[in-house]
Amino acid sequence: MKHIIELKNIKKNYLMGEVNVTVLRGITLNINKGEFVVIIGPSGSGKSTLMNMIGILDKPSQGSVLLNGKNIAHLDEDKLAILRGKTIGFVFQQFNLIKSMTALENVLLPTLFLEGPDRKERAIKLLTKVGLGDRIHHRPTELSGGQQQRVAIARSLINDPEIILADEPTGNLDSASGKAIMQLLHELNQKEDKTIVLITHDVDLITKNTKIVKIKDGKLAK
Amino acid sequence: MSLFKVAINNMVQRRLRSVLTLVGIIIGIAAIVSIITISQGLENSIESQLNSIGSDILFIRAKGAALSAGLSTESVLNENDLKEVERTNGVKEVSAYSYNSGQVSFNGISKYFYAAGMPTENDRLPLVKRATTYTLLKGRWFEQGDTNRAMLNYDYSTTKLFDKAVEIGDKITVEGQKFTVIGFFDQIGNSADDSLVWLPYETYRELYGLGDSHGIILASVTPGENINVVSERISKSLRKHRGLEEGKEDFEVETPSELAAGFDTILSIVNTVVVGLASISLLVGSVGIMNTMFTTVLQRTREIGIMKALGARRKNILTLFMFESGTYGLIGGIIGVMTGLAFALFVEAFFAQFLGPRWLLIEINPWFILGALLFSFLLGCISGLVPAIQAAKMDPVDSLRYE
Repeated sequence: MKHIIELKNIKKNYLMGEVNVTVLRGITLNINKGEFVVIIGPSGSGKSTLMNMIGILDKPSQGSVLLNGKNIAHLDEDKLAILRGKTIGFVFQQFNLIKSMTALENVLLPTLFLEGPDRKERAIKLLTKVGLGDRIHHRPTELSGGQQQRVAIARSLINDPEIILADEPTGNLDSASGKAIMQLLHELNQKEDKTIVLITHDVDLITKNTKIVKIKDGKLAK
Repeated sequence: MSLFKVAINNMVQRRLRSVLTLVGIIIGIAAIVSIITISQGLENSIESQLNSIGSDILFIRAKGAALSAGLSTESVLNENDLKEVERTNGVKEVSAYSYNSGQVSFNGISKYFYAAGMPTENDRLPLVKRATTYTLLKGRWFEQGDTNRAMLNYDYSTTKLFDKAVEIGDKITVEGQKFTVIGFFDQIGNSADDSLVWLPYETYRELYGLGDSHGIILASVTPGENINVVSERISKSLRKHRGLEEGKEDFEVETPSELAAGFDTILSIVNTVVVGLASISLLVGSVGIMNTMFTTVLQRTREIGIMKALGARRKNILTLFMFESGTYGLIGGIIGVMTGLAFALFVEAFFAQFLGPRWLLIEINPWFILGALLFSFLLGCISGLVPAIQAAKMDPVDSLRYE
């Protein structure tokens, strides 16, 4: 099977004040197309930094990141942004919706940065699919946490990306809403063959049909 | 203080901040729009008055005397000078008139206004008619042979000067002599002109003991002749006739465009001063927008991070914030233009009320308005450039983490 994401011995250092902090200490990881990968680790383990690498929000200090076999090291910020917008859908713990925009406008936001046809119908279809067909003109403050995260999932799908990158998507939700969100992600994986990368510290999210990657102190653990 | 209250306070402060941001732009644009509209209106008015005088008439008068009513004409020029002007090559017709302050009595009340002499001869009256641009309100013009008749300007037909409006056929006394009123002129727009009493020229000169002197000699130019060339010729022949050296003339020959030039100079000085002051206001407004945009960019750091994660390029973020600051400029521009135009129209109404209808002809030029709006939008964009660049340069990871 073809690797959609390849991390080759990546290391990441940050300069915090005058101290050089090493967050990732050499991680090699291959993710195949259509996989559901759960990256699990305690806080401070480096999993957020790993997410930034997989989401091509940042580049490693050493090692290489390949997306669909293509090394991203030589891409500038704008080319990374275009590639990110087309290939990766983000779902965040904080939902990260724009408060001044309606659900529909939030879902359409990623389309503003790419040229292409009007995606309004698709956005309405996606919002209906996540169960918010009657809430498309509501603003985030008029929606519950679970509903906001559904809007975020609809937004992550608008450009039809191959990968959904979810960073603690249930972290701010009650268990029932959290379960429903997990259900939704599994459906996307099974029915639409989306590659899902889920980052969490919550071991309860590990279910069957998932590949588990444990991270501790900036390294993969067995 | 509750969190709710803090939030409310923040919002109110932010609304105030938006308004404060716009004040500089509004004042600057309003000042520029109103002064340019008003001075254009004055130019229109001067132009229309000069056009109605006709661009072929020269005014010859004693040096330093005022052309319009307000000062008495001096008795420097006389009939011989007029004949000299008439003989000058390129002159078609000549005429003359004079005015002087005088006691005017009506209905038992005496007041001081200006009395003027107007030739009644058929070969001299038409040119004066054209030069004064007066239109007849009621009654009739002077005719050849009129002696104890008077024509009155507009204000006599109202109760502004005397308790009672003067009617055609009434007797009015000027410097002790009685005259029968035969006609009224329409409103001019300034009180000096509108309170003139016109008498037949010969009667007027006898009344004031002026002999054969003239206050103002008028000369029209033969079609096809250059008015400036004819003006020079008249100066030359009058100098010779009066035995004066060049540069030491006691008379002046003026063309309508020279009369306008004096006004234009004053207008352009006023324009420059006001536009200069308005520019300071615009600069303050621009700095205000820049400051607001820096704050906005800081407050929306997280949103910038989200948009970058969702695929926004630097160009997208830059455009977004520059458009926002441009909108600030545009809103300021719209309010400023409306304020400026309202002020100009108010001044026009004020002039019409207190000075007369012909002083200020406001014309709203849509291209100028469009230009002012475009300018304010661009000013907003430029003011927001540096904050927008700052926003565009933000690191996606850092800005996503920003609380």
